[in-house]
Amino acid sequence: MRRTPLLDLHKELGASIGEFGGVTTAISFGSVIEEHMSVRTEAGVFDLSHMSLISVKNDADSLLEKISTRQFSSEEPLRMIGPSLFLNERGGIKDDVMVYKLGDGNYIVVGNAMNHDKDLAWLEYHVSTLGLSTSIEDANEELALLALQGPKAKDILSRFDTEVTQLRPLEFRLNVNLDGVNVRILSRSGWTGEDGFEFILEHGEAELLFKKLIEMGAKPCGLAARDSLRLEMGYYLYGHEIGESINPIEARYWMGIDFDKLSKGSCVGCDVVYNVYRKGVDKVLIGLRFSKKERTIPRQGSLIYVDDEPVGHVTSGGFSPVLKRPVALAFVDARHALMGMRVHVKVRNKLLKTKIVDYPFINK
Amino acid sequence: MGELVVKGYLILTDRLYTGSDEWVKIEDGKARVGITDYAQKQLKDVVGVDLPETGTRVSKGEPLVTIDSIKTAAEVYAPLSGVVVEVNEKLFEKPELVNTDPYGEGWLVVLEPDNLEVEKDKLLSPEAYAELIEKRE
Repeated sequence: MRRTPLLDLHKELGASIGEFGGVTTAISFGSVIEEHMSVRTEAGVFDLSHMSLISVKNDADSLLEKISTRQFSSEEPLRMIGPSLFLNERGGIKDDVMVYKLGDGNYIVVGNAMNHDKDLAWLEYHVSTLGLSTSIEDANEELALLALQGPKAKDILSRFDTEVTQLRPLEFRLNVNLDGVNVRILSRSGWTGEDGFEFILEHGEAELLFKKLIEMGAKPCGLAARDSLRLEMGYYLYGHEIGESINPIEARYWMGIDFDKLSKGSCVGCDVVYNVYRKGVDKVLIGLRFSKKERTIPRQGSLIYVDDEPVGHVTSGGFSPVLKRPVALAFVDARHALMGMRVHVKVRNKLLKTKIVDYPFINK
Repeated sequence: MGELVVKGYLILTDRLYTGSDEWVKIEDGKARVGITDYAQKQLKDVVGVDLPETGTRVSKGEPLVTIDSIKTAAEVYAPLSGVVVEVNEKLFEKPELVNTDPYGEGWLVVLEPDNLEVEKDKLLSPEAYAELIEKRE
């Protein structure tokens, strides 16, 4: 079982430890709801080192252009590109990734933890079929990933370095020194819906930075809070909303695709997805919003009913600390996927009343 | 009131326990039931408690209450056979009481036991429960 390089630190801080995507890491440092609300109102720091980090060097523009649904070659360096999708030949999603364009044909690909080996293999396979001299390296051995998220994130960071707070969303800087800690990549990015920054740095430096950010007032947050934050935003989690058998059209993953590339068929899977776009879909991803009095939580797999007819299933469900009610993401038959429509979700033996809505569920 | 602390988990000595982390406090021949500090810490933030109706009859070991936490749903099992005579209605508005006061305000139900004298002996003493926690990972 892989483990985050910061595992000993998390144990020292009293975190409850668990497994996610095949990696042992911190699930929570105390109250998940408190961690969640800290990120929404102040600042939280996360260890994201479980995620897949892959270094793609040397003439990687053509490689990524070929296997991914977004433009790479024409983009300016020092910007993150993404979310971007790796598709299989059936137009299903192999992974959704964020890519750091470093310049000079070099990139760092950040993918989902559970897809680390799959992404490495997929990149290597295409290097080979395209006859490129691109090198693919597992960067997790050397590097860690942290995130500082929340409205106070920039105030905390500006005490180290006022310049980084000038970064615009998805822009990044290389080799930043934060009070003696060496950060290889510092980006204005995140996955919580709040302003924030992400840091790619060596393992030892990551431990130092995590501790420093806590000292500066950021609340340590685990993966349980990360999940409830992304759910409120309607962000997709691999293995729930997206997967090898799900295409980006039915998932409404517009941010992950470039229609120009789809229509030209200029990436693996692009032409298949374009056909889905033209023909239409049988099922579609929607949001479900429950009553404030509802205390039963819908979970992945819970079935959705219109009267007594099953019309879909929940992909992710949970409690929204901001809205103080359950929310869920779900696939529903296209013919019943109507905004505002009243449906039921079966949890254990109860039928919960709910309404189809779009997301994000909170105002962002 | 006596207390034991094992690996940071609180155990009160005025009641009995089960291997599935429920506590039972005998009051006037009736049994008040809740979950332990160990259990509430595993669950994390409780956001909903599915309580049975009063008058429901349960057998020892049957699911009695379902707790929804921000992380997962978990069953609480009847530590004794009997009839539910009272449920903690405060938990509808404040399910978090299960986390903040699992042995007090966070109680779940009161049972009228069928066979207290016999079934009581199968429950764990506070010391035996402490040992169980000690042995767990």
